[in-house]
Amino acid sequence: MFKSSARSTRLFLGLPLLLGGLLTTGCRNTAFYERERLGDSVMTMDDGGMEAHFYQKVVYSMEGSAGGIGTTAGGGCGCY
Amino acid sequence: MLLSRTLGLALIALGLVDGAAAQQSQNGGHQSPVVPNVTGPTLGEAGRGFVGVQLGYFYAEDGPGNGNPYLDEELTVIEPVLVFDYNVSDRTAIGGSLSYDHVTSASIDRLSNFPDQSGASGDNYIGVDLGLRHMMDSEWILGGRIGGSVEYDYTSISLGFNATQPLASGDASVTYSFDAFFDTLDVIRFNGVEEGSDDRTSLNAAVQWYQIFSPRRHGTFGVTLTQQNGFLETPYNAVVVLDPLLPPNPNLDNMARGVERTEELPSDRFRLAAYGRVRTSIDQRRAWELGGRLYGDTWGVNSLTVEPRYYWAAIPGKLDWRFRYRFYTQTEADDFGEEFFTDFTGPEQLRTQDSDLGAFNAHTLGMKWTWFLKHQDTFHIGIDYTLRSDGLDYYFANTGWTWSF
Repeated sequence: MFKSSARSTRLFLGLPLLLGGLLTTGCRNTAFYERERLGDSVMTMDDGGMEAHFYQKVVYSMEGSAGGIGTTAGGGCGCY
Repeated sequence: MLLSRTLGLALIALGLVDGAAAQQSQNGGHQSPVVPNVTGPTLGEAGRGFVGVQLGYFYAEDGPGNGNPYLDEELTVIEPVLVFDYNVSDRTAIGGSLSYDHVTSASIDRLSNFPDQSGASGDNYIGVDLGLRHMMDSEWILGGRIGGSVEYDYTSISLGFNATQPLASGDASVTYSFDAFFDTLDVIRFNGVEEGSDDRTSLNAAVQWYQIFSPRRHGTFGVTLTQQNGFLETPYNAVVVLDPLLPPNPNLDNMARGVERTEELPSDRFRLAAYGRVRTSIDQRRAWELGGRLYGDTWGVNSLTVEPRYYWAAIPGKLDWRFRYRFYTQTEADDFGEEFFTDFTGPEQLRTQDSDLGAFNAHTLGMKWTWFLKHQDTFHIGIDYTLRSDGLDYYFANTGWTWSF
């Protein structure tokens, strides 16, 4: 199973704190007419399928971990 | 301690950005669409769609003194990719991708020693992916895909399903996805010995949440769970057992006195990754993003990623810049060793010297330029450079064009 080092434990216990902290900073219902700023080009969350595809392949092939880029985390590639 | 600092910096950064946004929120006049381009599957007007092409380039080198001391590796990948997406109706769309990887000289020494060896001497990859998505009357979007890829020693078939549910008056959506990869590979060892073929199965389940936090902030959060089993080693990887009584080994880059043995790793692996990104608008031309990921698996690899980004519309409506920095750190796998001195009695003794399963830190700096052309067409160039603490630096770049219709 996972390494039971104190560092690992802190990493995984810290995730809910990080997410909770982010979610509670100014989260409220946003009316449809208030979302104009979210449509600015600099606010587009999607990097684009082509870039994500290449970025995922490069990063996954060079690191021991996978996940969080695209929707998959392993499989489908001999990856160099 | 590390995460505490990271959390603190994250919240401070968000607070500062929020303050800056509040100060500049009176700026107006931008012509962007009211409905934001959210993450996850979307649908549009029937007959609309896009075609995109991209050329990617990736270079990595494991030179003398870097990474695995017994190898002198150099890797170059050139990847053209074609993607398309087309709205068959207002509620149904199809999409797909076709990619080709030209991989050269993964191991230049082994190329000359064992020309028939697997990925150590070069590779060509072809991958195809086709998908369909449909919006139900309930506003759920259901999607499915099928894919396949072929390398000279590797074949993969994959299936995927996903469902996106809108939540909370459009403030949020959640996407559930499941993907399965069924891979077959030829086991060709570091010394050219062929051991037949073997299988690898990867099952991946993911949940991704999109949330609008405020009129100037939104983000995504997700968790991916992956179960892999079968042949999970890299067939051509070797482990060197040192013995000072042996003569220098000419097959080893540093002429070490030792013998090469096959890499042996567990036949199953469970991976868990949790990630998030939050983007905050400063004004119509600028935005900050903070992203991060935590990862752990049953091989003992744990990692932390922190990725802040800055977006700038240098010429509004014409040119956007993206700057990103990525910090990555990982622990080594339980079976990783830099040196082995006692020979192995069999494959049940797990071992690897793959540098990517060792402990290291990495710092990546990247920029991307996106030009907005006529008819919503775009052209982009991106380049990233990574410095690793074990010396295995690499860089990658891509450029692409998207035609919308």
